[in-house]
Amino acid sequence: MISIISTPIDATETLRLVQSTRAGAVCLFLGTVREFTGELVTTYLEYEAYPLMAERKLAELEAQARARWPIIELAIVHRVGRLELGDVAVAVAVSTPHRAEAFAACQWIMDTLKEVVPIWKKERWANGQEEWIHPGLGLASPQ
Amino acid sequence: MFVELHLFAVARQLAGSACLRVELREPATVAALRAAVAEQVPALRPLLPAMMVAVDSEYAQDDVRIGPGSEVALIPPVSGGGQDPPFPERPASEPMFRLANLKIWPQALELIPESVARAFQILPMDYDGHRLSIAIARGADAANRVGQFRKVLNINNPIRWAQTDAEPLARAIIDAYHLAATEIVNCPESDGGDCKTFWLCLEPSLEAHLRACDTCGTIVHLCETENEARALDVRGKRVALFQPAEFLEEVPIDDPVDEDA
Repeated sequence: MISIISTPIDATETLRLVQSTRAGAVCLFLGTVREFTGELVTTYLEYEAYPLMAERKLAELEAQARARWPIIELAIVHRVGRLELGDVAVAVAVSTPHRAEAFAACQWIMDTLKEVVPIWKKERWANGQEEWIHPGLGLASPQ
Repeated sequence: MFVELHLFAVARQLAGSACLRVELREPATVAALRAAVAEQVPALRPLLPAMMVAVDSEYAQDDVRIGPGSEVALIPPVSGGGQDPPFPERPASEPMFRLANLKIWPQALELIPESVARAFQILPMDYDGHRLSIAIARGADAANRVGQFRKVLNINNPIRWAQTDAEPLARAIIDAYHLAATEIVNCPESDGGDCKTFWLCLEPSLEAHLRACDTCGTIVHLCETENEARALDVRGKRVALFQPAEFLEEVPIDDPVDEDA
């Protein structure tokens, strides 16, 4: 199950989606809004997606992951819009027969998601500045 | 024809709009779109090389066609990889890959520090644990230079050497060390299989960014960034991802010892 939503992510509900009596392992990853990045303090975050492409890329990730690991159920939920400190930005849940595959698949999905899925975040720092996070772009965005 | 270009994140902010109407002459490609955007929105120009273009929700290289009904978007780097070290900078004027016709074994590069290779203008090409094969700049004194090189590194192994033109050799030395640690990242045979994983020892092709595995025949694409590699990986392509060669530290050569002292 794949979705991009603008309302709070219900982690328990995500977990319930992948639970199965065929599974011996369920791995749930939550990406949450962090307050401190080095010296910088975050007030809140804004996530923006290219919805059509993001959903398509997430579906590709699911297909790839299912080809690599014996996945029973899989759920990826990403939230967009304004998120406060501690909010869940993304949830990935995977169920597999054994734990090693669940850990591996969950980590791979999360790492790959952050590389290929067109979803961006903007930091709103405590000093009032805003910054789009684009690694490798080499320029701080003018505000 | 006109296409609607979707903009996101910093691109949207710089352009001041989420959508840009761009005129392209048919038949149009991603490269033509990039040129048109650079012309139309100067604020985006410096960022364009680092941005991907998506055509119909798929990451698209410069040669991909854009039709009248295509959905096109500018994709700034996504937030993943935020903790990765920045990609080392190379002068924009220099083409990235110029080793199209050379097959080089990384263990040979590992044996010879880059500083020594540059100083002697020697390209290590193969080392089988016994014999070292190198290319050296053409000249009447080539044999002498091989002798000095042997002395400086204190190599007692047999050296097989071939002469070549100095200028392409100098470029090849830089590129070989630059790409020494680059290897295939998604080979299913990499655990105990017979396939070679290092980019430099794959079979070269006429295209500098394509090589082939001479064990299984698979075509391998060379990528500079993880984004590029992921985009090809999800399309089922075999990918080699650039890795800075960390083991090749610059080794200072000591001053010559004055034997009379």
